[in-house]
Parts: sequence; C-alpha cells; structure tokens
Amino acid sequence: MVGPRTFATVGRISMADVDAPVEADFDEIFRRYYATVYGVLIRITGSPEESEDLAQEVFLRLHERSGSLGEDRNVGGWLYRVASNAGFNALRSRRRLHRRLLRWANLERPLSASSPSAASEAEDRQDAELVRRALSHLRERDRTVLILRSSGVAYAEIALAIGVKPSSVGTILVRAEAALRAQFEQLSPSI
Amino acid sequence: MDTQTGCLTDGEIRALIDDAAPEAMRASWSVHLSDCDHCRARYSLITENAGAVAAMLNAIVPPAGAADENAALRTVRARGEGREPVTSLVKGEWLMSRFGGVGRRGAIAGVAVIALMVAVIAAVPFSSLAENMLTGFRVQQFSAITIPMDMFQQNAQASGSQGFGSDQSGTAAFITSQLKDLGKLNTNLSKSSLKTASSVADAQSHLNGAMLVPSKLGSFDGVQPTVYLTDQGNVSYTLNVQKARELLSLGNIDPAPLPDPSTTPTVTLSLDVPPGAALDYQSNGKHLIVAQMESPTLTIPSSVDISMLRDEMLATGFLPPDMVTQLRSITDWQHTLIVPVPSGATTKNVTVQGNPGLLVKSDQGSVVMWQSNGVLHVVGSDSDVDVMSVASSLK
Repeated sequence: MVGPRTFATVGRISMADVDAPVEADFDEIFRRYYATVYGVLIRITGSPEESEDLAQEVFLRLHERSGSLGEDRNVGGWLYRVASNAGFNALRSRRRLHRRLLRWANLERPLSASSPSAASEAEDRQDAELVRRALSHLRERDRTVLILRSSGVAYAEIALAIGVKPSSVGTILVRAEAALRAQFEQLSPSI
Repeated sequence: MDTQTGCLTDGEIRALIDDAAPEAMRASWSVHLSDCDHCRARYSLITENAGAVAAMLNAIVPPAGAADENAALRTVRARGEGREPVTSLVKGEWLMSRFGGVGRRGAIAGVAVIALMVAVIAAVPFSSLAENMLTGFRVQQFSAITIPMDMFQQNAQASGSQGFGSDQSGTAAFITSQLKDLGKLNTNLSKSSLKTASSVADAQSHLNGAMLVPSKLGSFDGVQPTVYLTDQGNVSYTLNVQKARELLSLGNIDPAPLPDPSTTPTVTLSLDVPPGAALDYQSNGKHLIVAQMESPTLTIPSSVDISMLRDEMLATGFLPPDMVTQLRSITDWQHTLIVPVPSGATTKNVTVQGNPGLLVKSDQGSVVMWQSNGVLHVVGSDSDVDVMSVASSLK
C-alpha cells in the first residue's frame, strides 16, 4: 500500500498489533527506545546534558514526521540512525570548539593529581578521550556499528540503521573492532 | 560459511559470540566450531578483541544516572506542540538550510554559503576602533582559508537523515555548558527564520526589489526555482568581563584588551543579520542556488580592544598553526570575510560584474561569492553548470 505512514502503521511494522491512536503510539515508541537512544548518544558525546538534548531532538523529529517516515520501515533503525548522525555531528562541532577552548585555557597538559582518586579520574578521562579520538579516526559506519552494539542494539536494528543486511553486521563489527584497537594503540603512548 | 574452506567467517563467529546467529544456522555453526581448531582459534581472538573493545567503549560512558524518561517525554511533547510538522526534507534544503544557519552536512557549496552567515562571528574580521562604537562593518572582499577535511566530513547517510536542529542543538548545548558563566547568547533567529515563498516576486518584495535574478541558467534553463527567504534577525553575546579576563589569564593571554570589570562588568557584542533570499533551481537531482543578503553588521563596544585581542589570540595557539598562518597572511583583515574551505577544494580570486569575489571548486560542486554595494551574493551548484556564467548574468 502506498501512502503516508502514521505512528500506528509504523507501530505495526515494528511492534505487532499496535492499533492505538498516533499519540499513544508515540508514547509507547518513546518509552521503548528512549533509554537506548540516550545510551547511544552518551557514548558518542560523553555529556549527559547534551545527550538528553539530542535525544529529545531525535524524538522531536520523529514526532514531526508522524505523517510520513518515507522508506523507513523500522522505527528503531530510523531512531538509531538519526541519533548516531546527530551525535557525531554534534561531536564534530563540539570538538572544534572544545579543542580551541582547551588550547585557550592551556588545559591540554596532564592534570596534576593530588590524590590517588584524582589521579585515577584523570587517567579515566584520558582513556575516554583516547577512545574518542580513536573512534574519530574510524569510518562513520564503523563508529556507528560499534556505538550501537555497545549500547545493546540488536543486529537487525543495527543493519537497518546503517543500511546493510543483518548477515553483514558481524563482519563489519569484527573489522571495526580491529580498527578501533589499532587506532587506540597508535594513539596511546603507553601501549 | 566460507565456500572454499567450509570454515566460519569472522562475521559468523562474531554473531555466535553475540548470540545473534540466525536460528537456522546456529546449531550447524556451533558444531563446526567445536570440531575446527582453526575456527576455535579465531573465535578466541575475536572474543578477546570484542571484550577489549567493549571495555574501551565502556570507558566513554560517564558515571551519570540515566536520564529521566518521563521528564524527557513531557519536554518532547511540549516542544512538539510548538513546532510545525516536517513531512520530508527535499534534497535542496541541505543547501538552503546552510543559508539559514541550521541543518545538514553538505557539500562544498553549502559550506561556503553558511560561511557567509557565520564567518563574521567565527573568524572575526573586525575593524579598528576609532569611534565610540564600532558599527556598520561591511564585507568588502573574501579570503579563503583551508581547514582539515574532517571538519566537513561528507557522509551520504548523514546527509540523508540528519535533520534540522540536532547539530545546532548539540553545539548550543555544549556552548551553554562550557560558557554559561562567561556570558549569555541571545538571538531571535530560529528555524522558523527560514521559510519558503511561492515566487521570485516574493523574494523581490522581501528584499525591497533588490533581488538579482539570473538570465543564464545553463542546464537549469527553463526551471522554476523554489524560493527561500530568511528573516532579519539579531545575535548578541553579553560577556561577563571578569570571567573572560580570568579565562584569558588562565591561558596565558594578556587580558588587557578587555575593560576593567569594576567599571565595565559586561560588554555586549551584537550582530545584525539583514533579510536574505535564495532561489533554488532543481533539475535531475542537481541544484543551482542563487542567494543574496546585505552584509551583516557587527557592533562591538569600544571598551574592547579587538585589534589587540586578535593579535593575542593568533599568538597563543587558539587556532591551529596552519590556520593562524593563513589568517596572518590576510593584510586587510578589517574588511575581509574569511571563508573556510575544506582542504580538497581549490579557490581563486575572481571578478564578478566588476566586483572582487571568490570562486571555490571541488569535485562536489562550485560556488562563487562576491559583494556589491554592501550586498553579499552567492551562486553555487553541485552540478557542472558554470557558476561564473550564471553569476555574470544576474540583473
């Protein structure tokens, strides 16, 4: 059938026998996917506040598109794709500004550790930053697969999010993991 | 299974590890794994790799509690009430969204167009301060600076699904969190500042009859354009002088360009953005954009010695070294609009209808921009149309 898909229709594609009104469907979709969308975004951005904002933007887009989701036949895949793109785009914008601010404030030097916990926190931050830098060197598809899998997204929805067959997800994942480790080791002076 | 060796592929092994193997294959793959030393060795290696990567990715999750789902839903609902539905994003909107200051990753033409909107703030070609208040800054010429390609990463998937607001929101959220003590940003520009109109006549009316229309369109000849209008608006930033001086000092930057906070606790920088208009000609999936806008006006209090501040910033690693070199090479920086372009693009100084302009070309399209009597013009396309010819035909 050709025509605009409402949330009710989207719901039937992704959630069997959902026949409630559009608004109720939106609530259900929100509750079903919000935590994972937020989890994807916080892995990408590292900022709870920014992740909340972006997650809301992602669902706002879904809300705005209640009349038509085009060819997106699975709301989960659509949400994860939009969330990943939003996260990485925000990160790119933020990284530029952040880098400048850090240089400006001369904070790129290692933080002085006055206690074991402070030292540990500083190391954790450095590790996290190294991982993010390593991720930034990967292809967008590889980054997305790693983040989605790490957020607990199933292979089928990862496949929909990045536009490949479910049977290809494992292969992409293996290659992306190898690439991330290689990048991390290259960037990390201690390894 | 590998058709030649009969062994499991890496992807199949990975799916087994994640318990994501197809139901129909799971048993046979498991049997093979138990019988094949080679596959078991790879299973161990891939498992070890997956575990290491999982640990790495766990490191980037901050130890914060999960977001309040109910509060988030209420917020989305409230915000959704105030928004108009977006049914679909036509392909041309990526370029126009650049013009409007929101939107999607795009090609070089889009980069250049948005540069007209933001470079005045971002790269700051300030004028010297002779009067009490700096007003009436007008762009007189353009200069390109090359920046790393990854800043404008091209991604078809992102372009296809990245929509209004998210990028802008993410950046705004970060700026808000990092600079909340430093000052306050106010603007009356928003997503609704960009709208469509029904005809070129509307664009003429919007710009008081000053809209220039091309008479030569090349392969777009005979195409009726989609008309976009951007509203007049203002962006202001009120700086907490004390905080700003502290930040400068922290970065070993002399705070002298800023005023004494005991007498001038805040300073407000203001950018007035005049109305703009653009014509989007679409043919065979390609776009030709003709856009124009009066130069924005930047207002800076005389208590800020912006010339000294610029020198300080260029000297202290605020920007990447190669960018600093390029910026320093611009002698008439007071009247030059900086246009950031990706490293893969080529730029050329050109003359358009007797006015100095800048032509940017890449394998994704070309764009030419120039100013005439204080009005900024842009002609860009992702097709092979000769944008210089189109620009020359504007009248």
